Amino acid sequence: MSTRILSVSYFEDSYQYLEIDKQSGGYFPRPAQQAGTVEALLSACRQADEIYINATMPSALYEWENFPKVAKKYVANVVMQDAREKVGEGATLQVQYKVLGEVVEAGVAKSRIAYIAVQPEDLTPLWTTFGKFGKKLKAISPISVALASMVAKIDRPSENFTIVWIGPNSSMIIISSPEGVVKVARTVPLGMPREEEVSDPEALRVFSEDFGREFFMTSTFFKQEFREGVPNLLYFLGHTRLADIFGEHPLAGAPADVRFSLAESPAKGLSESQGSELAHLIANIYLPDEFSFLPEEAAPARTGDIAYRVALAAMVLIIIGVGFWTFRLNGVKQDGLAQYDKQVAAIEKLQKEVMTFRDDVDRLQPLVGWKKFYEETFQNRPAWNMVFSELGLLLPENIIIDEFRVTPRRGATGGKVLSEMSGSIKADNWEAGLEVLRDFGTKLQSSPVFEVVDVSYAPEDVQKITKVFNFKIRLNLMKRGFAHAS
Amino acid sequence: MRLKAGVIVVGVLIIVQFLMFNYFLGQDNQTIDLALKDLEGRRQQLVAEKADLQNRIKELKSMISAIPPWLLSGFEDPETGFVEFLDFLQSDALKNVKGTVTVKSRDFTQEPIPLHQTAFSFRYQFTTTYEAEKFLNYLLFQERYPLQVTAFKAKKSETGVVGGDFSVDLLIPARLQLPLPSSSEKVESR
Repeated sequence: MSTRILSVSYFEDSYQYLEIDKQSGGYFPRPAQQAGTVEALLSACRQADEIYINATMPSALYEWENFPKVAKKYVANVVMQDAREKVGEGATLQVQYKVLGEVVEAGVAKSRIAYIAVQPEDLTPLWTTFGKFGKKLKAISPISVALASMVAKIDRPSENFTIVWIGPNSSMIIISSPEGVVKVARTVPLGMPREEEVSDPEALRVFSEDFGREFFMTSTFFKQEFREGVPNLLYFLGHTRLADIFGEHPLAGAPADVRFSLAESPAKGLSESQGSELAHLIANIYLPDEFSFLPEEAAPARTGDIAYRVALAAMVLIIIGVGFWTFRLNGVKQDGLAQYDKQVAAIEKLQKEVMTFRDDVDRLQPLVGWKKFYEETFQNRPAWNMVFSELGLLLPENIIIDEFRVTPRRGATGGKVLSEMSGSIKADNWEAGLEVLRDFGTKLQSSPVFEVVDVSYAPEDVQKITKVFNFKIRLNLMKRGFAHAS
Repeated sequence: MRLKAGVIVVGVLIIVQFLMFNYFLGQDNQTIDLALKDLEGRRQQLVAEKADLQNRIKELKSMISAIPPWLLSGFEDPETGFVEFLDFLQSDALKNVKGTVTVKSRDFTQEPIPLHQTAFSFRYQFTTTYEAEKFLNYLLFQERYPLQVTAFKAKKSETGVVGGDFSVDLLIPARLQLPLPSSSEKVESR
């Protein structure tokens, strides 16, 4: 998995760009485009994952100042105020700064701050062209910052150093701190000598002298501004022939330590000459976090990372939560299935038992009929063999029984058989007859064989001297051995 | 950038898959809950039925225990039983009360058990209750022939002789089913 980086450099009103693959093994530049059009550049922007831009930014003001110590949130305002004072009140500036540390000035602790103020005309073309790539846009910096940072990070010089970068029509003279923070940067209207001039020693001598003047002016400005000596280390970057040119015609005022390349290649697979010629493009991958003039639209790109991380963390939490929920639900399902199996087994066992009991009931059920049969034929037999003797025992002398009739009914009678006896009573009068009948009824009721149901009593012929009264008693014949409640 | 987008997409897909899986798990759990409720209802129904059947078996056993073993030990073939009963009637007990017997009808009934039913009508006379009751005791209180009295009448005549009529049904079971060994007892013992 590699990240496709597009490094763009804008100078002399034209763009140069280089595509670089960032891999775990380092940065691998693709073959440089010799004649890239804006359309090709925009196409490369669309394909890139990250875009880094540098530009000459002629309006850039490089300052190192000591500021009164203020709260962090007010530093930007203080720096902006200072930049406006230097550029001119009312100027619309974009300012980026870096707090370098503390210094004591006249016994007062102050903040040492380096800042770069750029006017909009240097940034607007870049923002207009690249603003639409918003989040891909990682940095827009002056070319001086990129070069100084690259040299500082690769060669790690121990003291201030100077970089002379020579372009086709203009050049830059940069003086930087060992950490790569630009102290002075100037755009010089001198470009690389043309092909025909390179072979002309006189032209090269003039070129070297002209450049020497510019170098001298810059060094003088640096000495006045920073009260420091001219750096003892000078880098020439931008073209492979610079070594030949300045070898034959040394730069006036140049220090003893002059280098035409870096200690090691700034990217993988680059020759020494490529490293020098593409230095302004390769330098973009060494850009510091500070001094980037990204447009407002690109600002979310940085917060985008935070948003991405927050989203990622939230997503991971959600996945963990949902995973835990899944685990629980699955546990509930497994428990449910186990319970289901258990219930099914219990029900199958119960069903077997119930089937067995049903079979038993079916097998025993016919015996209910046998029980009934037994009751009707043997168990509930009335005491037929005692009816007559019992009546004879209970019957008073003046009562004659004419008929005893039984009409048994089938079905549930509780062992009682309804019967009826009729006869007559001889008595002096109705009351006496009734008294006799009552006495007989009482005896019948107390007998274990009979149970009186009702009695009817009527005179037969009241005209006779001997009065005869007819009676009829309905009574139950009790089953043998059954004593009724009298 | 593409990597980040890819990670987010993969993450969202994972979440969606989890949610879908959880949805289906939830559905499964609901189905299982419903099935468990059904099973619980079925189980309770079976437990109640089992208890009812156990009570019924207990009642039946109690009922059966009231039937004397000799009744269940078996009856003769219905025809043989009928002939034997006729032989049984050829006794002095009937002669002593000048009894006559008439076979009225023969029938087959299913209630309360399959029975061969033969109706007999008896007529007898007596002057002392002892004679009558001796005859009635002989006929109606034996333990061999199932009889059911269907009518009984006694009427005293002018001469003091009592004339009795009664009808009985001789009920001979068509067959006898003895209960097989109870398998429920085996279940209970387990």
